Amino acid sequence: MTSKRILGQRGFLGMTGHRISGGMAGGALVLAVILSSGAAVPARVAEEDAAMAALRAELAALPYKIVFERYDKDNWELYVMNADGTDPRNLTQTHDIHEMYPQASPDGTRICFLADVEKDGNTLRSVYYMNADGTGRTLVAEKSRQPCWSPDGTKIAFVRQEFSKLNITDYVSKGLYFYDLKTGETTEHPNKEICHLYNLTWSADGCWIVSTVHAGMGFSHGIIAIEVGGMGVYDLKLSGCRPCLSADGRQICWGADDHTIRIGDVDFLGGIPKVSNEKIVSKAQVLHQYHSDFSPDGKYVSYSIGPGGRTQAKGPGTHTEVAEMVSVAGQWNLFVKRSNGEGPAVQLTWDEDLCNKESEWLPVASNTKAKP
Amino acid sequence: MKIRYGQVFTALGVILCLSACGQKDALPQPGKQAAPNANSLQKSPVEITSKSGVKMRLIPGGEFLMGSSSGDKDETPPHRVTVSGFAMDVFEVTQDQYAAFEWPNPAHFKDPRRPVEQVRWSDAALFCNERSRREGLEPCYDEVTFECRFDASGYRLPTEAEWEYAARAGTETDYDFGNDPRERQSHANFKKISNGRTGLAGKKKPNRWGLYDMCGNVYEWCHDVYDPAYYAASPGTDPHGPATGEKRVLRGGAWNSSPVACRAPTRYSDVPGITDACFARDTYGFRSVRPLSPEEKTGLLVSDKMGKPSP
Repeated sequence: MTSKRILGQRGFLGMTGHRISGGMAGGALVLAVILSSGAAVPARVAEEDAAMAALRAELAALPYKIVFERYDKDNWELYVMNADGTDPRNLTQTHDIHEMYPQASPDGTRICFLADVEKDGNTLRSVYYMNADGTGRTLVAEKSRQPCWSPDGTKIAFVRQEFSKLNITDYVSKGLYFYDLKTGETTEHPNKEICHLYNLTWSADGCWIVSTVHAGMGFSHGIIAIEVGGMGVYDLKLSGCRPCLSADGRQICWGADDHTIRIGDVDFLGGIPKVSNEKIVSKAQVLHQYHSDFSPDGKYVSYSIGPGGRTQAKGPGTHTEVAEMVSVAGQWNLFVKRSNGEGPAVQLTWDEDLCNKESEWLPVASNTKAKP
Repeated sequence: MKIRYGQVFTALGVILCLSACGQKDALPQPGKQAAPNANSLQKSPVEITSKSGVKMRLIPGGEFLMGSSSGDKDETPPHRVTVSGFAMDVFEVTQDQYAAFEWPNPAHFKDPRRPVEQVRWSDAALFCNERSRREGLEPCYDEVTFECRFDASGYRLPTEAEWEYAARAGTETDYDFGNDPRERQSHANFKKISNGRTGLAGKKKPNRWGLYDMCGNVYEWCHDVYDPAYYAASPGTDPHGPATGEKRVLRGGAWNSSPVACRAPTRYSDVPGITDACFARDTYGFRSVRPLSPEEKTGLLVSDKMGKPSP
């Protein structure tokens, strides 16, 4: 795949409001505009051009793909593409069902996700999983959301929606549940006070669920660590939301505010989880960026960039709400950057009319069909 | 034939309405009658219960002195403003009101009897619309642009002028209960006495018009865009605030505020949180208003002329 196809077949509305289109130079300029404080410096653009090409080549050689949600033609679908943004393919192809929020199993053989279907005039949101090639769709739980995989891939954690009727606000959840893929049984976390969680991520040792909490469990808003088998709940004292733990369990990335992706070292061994050595991975001045996700080797972070604010509802699968929320469409696209924050970002999607969000790294399994 | 007093009152009301020569809510006008530091409306406004079970006061229209020359610069110049009558929630919107609508409770300090907080301005506006729909009234807000139809029959956030008019309750002092600091603790939940959290709605004394927590507990979102210089060019009748701007007005102070922030004329503002998925200001709440129905306007006139105390 040539860079020409990847970069700038369509215009992109940058943070300064300039519509930019064209090939590599246009793409680099967009990135410079997004990642700098506003004024693009030509010398830096040229410098980043080479750095971007190098990073893109690195990504192309990785044994990973990226699965993400895309809104197109009034429908949310799950797509998978190479880590450098090439060869996007529709995994779900269901025109009457909206699939969103993909989460890859650690071995790359399965994907769990959300699906919205219209039922009796209401939207029913449910958690499913399927094989990484899109086959074998299996229901986990109805009226549920925010799934994530256990580190051994045998369980899916999720939350149930707080009210019978769907409310798309991300924190409208109650309880914490674990679905066992082997038995098909679901158990509830012993702490019945758990509520208003979103963006769950499971630690590598299997002992902790890290999540955003909003207006629940005595917290105003923050990122907390919950003991999987106990009653402990600890405030990680991080400003922001939407955490993601690295596969080795040593790092955490999250949206520190609407514009900033941060990373830190996380320590679960001392009894009380804590985060240290915080630093910025990516910062945009005007556009919003969210949905950060570590590559399996922890060297890269993917994330979404798009306009903030409420968006005009365009079709049955999107809503009028803050655009970074699940099932709300806006002009969002996907990026990758080194997790140490150094160097430029590589833009993976360039769609002006589509919405690409919630990227998730998918290890390329030798056989994409999971073992039964 | 049995004559019902209600029919007589209604008929009298219609006559009085017609004789008002087109003036909006011509009676009573508390501000005009007010001497400094006096309560012009001697009785509390009529209290009603809305179709969705929320207690409201029917605030008669009138004129009052808005702003102050003794506070921050954005309170100046003090100027006379006339507002049309409106119905206003007696209490700040509580968490059980959210629960009744099956809306997610965004509050930090959980208790169905406490005011809802951590509310974005846009969510407060949407709540007003939902409440309107449930009561068969016309929603005021466009849910994408948030432009407000002030001629709609439904609920909306109070304008800054309506809020201050109601908070002053016919007085021209910093607080409707006067400027004696000893009175504050019985009227307001503020930093010195709040124990670091919101109080139960209606736990303190109401103001002279029967409205609770206009002073302290949570800041209340108003409809208006904030402009510190707005008073210099504000319309004299029913001002709605500037057309554009980044921030919206908040009034009344909160549980973590100094008493100064709880003064009736004190203006505060913040970004409305429309673009913020993780809005978390546990000091921001709201109450709703709606225009008076024709029947309510009539009832106000009759009630006042007949010298009937409010229910």
